[in-house]
Parts: sequence; C-alpha cells; structure tokens
Amino acid sequence: MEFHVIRNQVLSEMQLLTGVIEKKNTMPILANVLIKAENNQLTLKATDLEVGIISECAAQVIEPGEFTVNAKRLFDMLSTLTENQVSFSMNDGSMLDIVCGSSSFSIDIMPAKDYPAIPEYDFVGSVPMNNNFFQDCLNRVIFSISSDPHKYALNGAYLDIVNNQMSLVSTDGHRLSVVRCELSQDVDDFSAIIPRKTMNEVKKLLVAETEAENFLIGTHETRIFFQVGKRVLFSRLIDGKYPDFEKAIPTNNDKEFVFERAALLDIMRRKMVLSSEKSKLVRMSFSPGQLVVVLKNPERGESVDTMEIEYQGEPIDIGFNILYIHDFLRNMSCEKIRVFLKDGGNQGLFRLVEDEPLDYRHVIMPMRLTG
Amino acid sequence: MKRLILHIDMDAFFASVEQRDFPHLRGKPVAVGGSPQGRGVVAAASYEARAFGVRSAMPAAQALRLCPQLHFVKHRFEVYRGVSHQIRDIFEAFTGLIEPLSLDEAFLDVTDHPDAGRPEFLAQSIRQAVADTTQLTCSAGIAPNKFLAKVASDMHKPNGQFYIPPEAAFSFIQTLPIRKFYGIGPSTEKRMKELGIQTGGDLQARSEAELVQLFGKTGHFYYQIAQGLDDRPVRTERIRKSVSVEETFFTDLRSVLEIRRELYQVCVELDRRLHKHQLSGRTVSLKIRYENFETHSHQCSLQAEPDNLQALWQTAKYLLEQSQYNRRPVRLLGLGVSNLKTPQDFEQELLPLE
Repeated sequence: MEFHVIRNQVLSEMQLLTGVIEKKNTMPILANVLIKAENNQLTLKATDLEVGIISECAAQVIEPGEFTVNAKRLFDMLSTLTENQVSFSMNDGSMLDIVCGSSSFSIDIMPAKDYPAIPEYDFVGSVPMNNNFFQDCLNRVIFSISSDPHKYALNGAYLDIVNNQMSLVSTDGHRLSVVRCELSQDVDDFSAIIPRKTMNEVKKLLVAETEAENFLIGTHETRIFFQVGKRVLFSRLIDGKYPDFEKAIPTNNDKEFVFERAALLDIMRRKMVLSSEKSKLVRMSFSPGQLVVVLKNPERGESVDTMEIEYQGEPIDIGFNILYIHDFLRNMSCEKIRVFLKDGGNQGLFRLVEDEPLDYRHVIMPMRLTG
Repeated sequence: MKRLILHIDMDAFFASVEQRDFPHLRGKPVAVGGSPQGRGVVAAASYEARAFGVRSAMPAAQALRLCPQLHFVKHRFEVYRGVSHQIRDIFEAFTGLIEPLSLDEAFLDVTDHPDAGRPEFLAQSIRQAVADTTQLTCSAGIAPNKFLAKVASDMHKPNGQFYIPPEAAFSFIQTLPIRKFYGIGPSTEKRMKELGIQTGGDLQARSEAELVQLFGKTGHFYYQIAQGLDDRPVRTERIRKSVSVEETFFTDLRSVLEIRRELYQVCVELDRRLHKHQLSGRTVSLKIRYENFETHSHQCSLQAEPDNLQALWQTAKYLLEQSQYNRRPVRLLGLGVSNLKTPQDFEQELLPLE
C-alpha cells in the first residue's frame, strides 16, 4: 500500500475525527481511525460506537489498501511535521511508514477488519436545512442540555418537526431553551433526542463547512445522520420520552424589561468573580426606575450593580443561579433581550428583541430562600 | 440587663432510669454501658458505683476491677430519649428559652418568668415537677449567666441546688478552683498551675492583656468569666459545631499499616456523615489514644474545606504523622471536622416538567 497526501488536508479532517473518539475508552481499536486508500481518495472513519464521522480527502494512491492507526498519534505526528507533502507506505503489513521531507515515522497499525462496522445511510427522504440558520439554533440550546447522567432523556436536545414547524429544545430541569421556526419546504414529521456530544460535533462540522449552504438531516432506525458537504456524521439517538416542556413556559409573566445584552452580561461577569459552588445566588431587585443586582458570598465578599430602568410597576425581588443567567447571556449574539417576570417565585422568561424568523424562549427557575 | 439562668442536670441519669425501672437494681452499684468482656466503656454510673470510684467514660473492665459486685446494664437509649422528652416538656412549661446540652442537662433562661424574683423557689418548682413526672432527681444551678449556673449545679449534687446571686458572683469565683471552670481542661489546668493560678481569685488578679498573652484568644474568655461576665445567650436550637467519628479497637493496634487502614475506615465514615448532613469544615482534628490511655489530639486548619474523601484522607494522614503511632500501640482513633461552614441557604427550584 502506498499513497501521498497534502499534510494540511489530512490534518483538518483528523481534527474533526478525533473529536468523536472517546478519550478514555478501554478498547484500543476505538482509539484508532480507519483509513482506506483507493481511487485517488482517502476515506477516513472514526467512532466511539455511539457517534461517528466519515470523511474523505484527496490523495495520490499508488497502491490501494486499508488500515487503522491511533488517531491522536497520527494527528500529533502530522502536526509536528513541517513539509506539506507526506507519503504513507506499508511493506510487510504491520508497520506504517510516514515520510515527510527528511523526517520519517514508523508506527504500529491494527488491521482494518478489526474495526467496528460503520452504519450506512443513503439520505433518501432526508431534510435539507440551512447551515447558518441551524448553527444559530444549536448555539441557543446546546448550553442548557443536562449533563446529569441520572436524567437520561435530558442528556440530549429534542428535535421535533410537525407540519413543517421545527422545534429544538433542551433543559436540565432548572432551565429550558426552546427555539421554533417555520420550515420553508415540505418535510415529513419526525422527532428525536440527539445526544449532547452529537450536537457539539455537528456544530463543529457545520462551522468547518465553508462551501455548501445547506446540509441534510435524516433518521434511520435508532440513528440520526447529518451530511455536511463531503462529511457524514452519524449518531445513536437517546431512547427515551422527552418531557412535556410546553407547560414550563410561562404565559402570564406581565412585567417586561428590555436590556442591552452586553451591559447585563458585564454585570453578571462581575458577579461571577465572587460566586462559588455554595454562593451562586444573584439577586435582582426591580423597583420603579431602578434595578439592583447583588451577589453575596460570605467567604469572598459582595458585588453590587445599580442600573436605571424604565419601569413603573410594583417592586419584584427575584434570585437566580448566576451560572444560568451568565450562560444565557453569553451564548446569545443579539443586541437586546427582553425579560418577562411575574413575581419572585415563578420562572423568568427570556427572549430576544427582533428575533424573526426564529422564535426563541429561554426559561430559568428562580432560587428560593429556604431557611 | 440582669438575667436569671438555670442549669438543670439529671442525677446519674441513665443509671437512675435503670434503677427506677428495675427495682432489683435499687441501692446497688449500677453501670450502664458496654460489656466488660469486650472493650466497652461506662456510659453512666449510679452513685453507689461512684462510691467505688467508677466513673463514666471508664473502661468497663477497669470498673469491674474497682467494684466486683457492679451490675452492668446494657443501655436503652430509646428509653432515656423518651424521658428526656418528658423533661423537656416540663421545661417548656416554664420558659421557651431552653438550650439542651445532652439528654440529661440543659440551660434555661427564666429571666422573664413571673417567679424570677424568687430564684430558689423557681428552681425548686422545676425540680419538683421533674421528680413528680419521672420519679427521677436532678440538681440545679441558679446564676446570672451560663458559666456560673453550670458550676453551681455541681455544688449540691445529687438532688440539690445552689444559687449564686449576681452580687455574690465575684467572691464565689474568687475561691473556685480553676479546674471547676467551664472550658478549662486538664492540660490548661496544668499550665495554669505552673503559672501559679490555682483559683478564680488568681485569675482575677491577672490583667486581660496578660491572659491574652499567655493563652491567646481564649485568654480573653478566661478574663471575662473570672470577672463573672458571660453574656453568651441560651440558644434554643443548638447549632452543630463539629462532626466526628471515633473507634475503639477490640485489641490494640500495633502495626503502622493496620493503624493507617483503620484510620482510613474512620475517615470514610466521617466523610459519609459530612455528606449526609451537607456539612464541611476547615479544621480537621485527629484523636489518638495509646495503650496506656494517654490521649492526644492533633489538629490543623486548612485554606479550604476538604470537600471529598481524598482531601480528608490527605489531612488525616498528615495528622497521623504528627502522632507517635509508629512507636506506641493504639487503642482508639478518632477524626473530626470543626469550624463548620453553614450550608447553602438557597435552593434551586425545578421546572414544572412532569
């Protein structure tokens, strides 16, 4: 087997592939990437048995062949080499020689036949989606996906398409993100819970794709597939019942406030300086003409910010987990946000100003004084 | 403002309950606690047993040597707890300000009671009520503060009471041996005696600055109580100040490995209790009792609370190294955490999802 490649081209594919490889897996073969060289092209595959990526890269193939090699090590070797042309060859079948200018590596490989089967899908009946639009949706929900292994169904984002209306939802039980929009073309109804890791890897693929404006999403049996340009990402879905999130979205929060997102984020950044695992309550006191934001940490001190607001209603005193408010503000990209409150004991509703065609709602439960 | 504080202490509580419930034990030396065959200790001794020198916290085997006819009774904590509740109810009838120190003693702030002008009569009434309900006797100390009340309850024990009027406080303290002072243990006592401090009067003769120089921050406390000043309020809800776990071994531990292994078990249990009560503290202390009952404690205060088993074990090992565990057989190991941090006061609400 022998082929020649442009170093940077392989390197950028390897960067995406190493993302899905489980860092602390116990099966050695799963630390490897499967590489197949034929028809002047490399096909690269990596999986942790849950999520996987299939990609390709141009190559000058002299003699076709396939093998698996430790992905992290291959990535590190390629990134430390300096010349752009790299040659791969294999003679007796157990060692891979990598030559680049006057440098060379000779490393162990494992046979391709030992690599787990990679699922295939033809993307018939899949849904086309706009790349930038979907990235925007992902950014608004990924941060509030639960990482608590006990809340199995919440460890992913819920994608639901009914009557060409798409919803993407995430919650960890304390906060909820829902983004909704009308799809421009007719698609079949479907719903799925997509694991958090998959969401993150899809985002990387979407960001890395600079040519195609659209990509495809399809489901087959227990898996979901994304075709982004020349790359395919597949993932098992979370087999669970997603909770009825609609009733957690408040409908009668009658007090409305508009903020410059950056200004409020600055305030919360100051609170973050003094917050700790045991002191994360940020108290927001709204009164006519003024908002006072306070975080007190008995061990570190306190931080107070005062802000003029156009509000003439009755005073509201509400406490939130600083991390949740900070997460929300930092993951949005708009200029202004709207906050809707009812009182100090009910969930706050956060929306964005001038958000069409998307309809985004973020809900945060307050913290309650217990003792 | 002048306060009237009572310290009520049940007389040989556990042993008296046993004698009350089992007539054949009455008038006999009785010890409540673990079995003398094992490594049990005396939890409480009746006055008849005390006459032989049997004391609480004494190893059961030693108690039996001092008093071969001693009746050993296995404790019945649920019964003592029940009686303790009855007593608590009696106190409630006199005042709402009650600070229980254990099952058998409590401070009562009776400043606002209608009979506060007749302190001795008031104490007598409470003791009578306790006796009527439980058929058990108790002793009372009556004084203007907690320190003096506690000392006073010991003066005419058992079944007696002692009153220290505010104007008599200073002269009372003057003749009080320092060992009787609340908060002065054997080692401080030794230290004081070396400095020529034998009685409250000797303490009163020293200036505050001098005592602080000699004893650090507690010097300030000694000065205050020597002057009869103690404004600590009677706390109705006792706040937990420390969490600790200790283990007495069936046979003395002699090998370093064994001691470390047992300490690790104590550490695991402490960690479990801290988690259960959601507590963490900055000061970790190791208690180690050697073969000859000599007991030492080593402690250190950390920058941050050890919040996991690993951190706790690191500190425990460090403290163990300060001891003589590699040279002397060890009978007991204990580990505790104090300087506790108050738990989070705010609770995150849940979204109404299901």
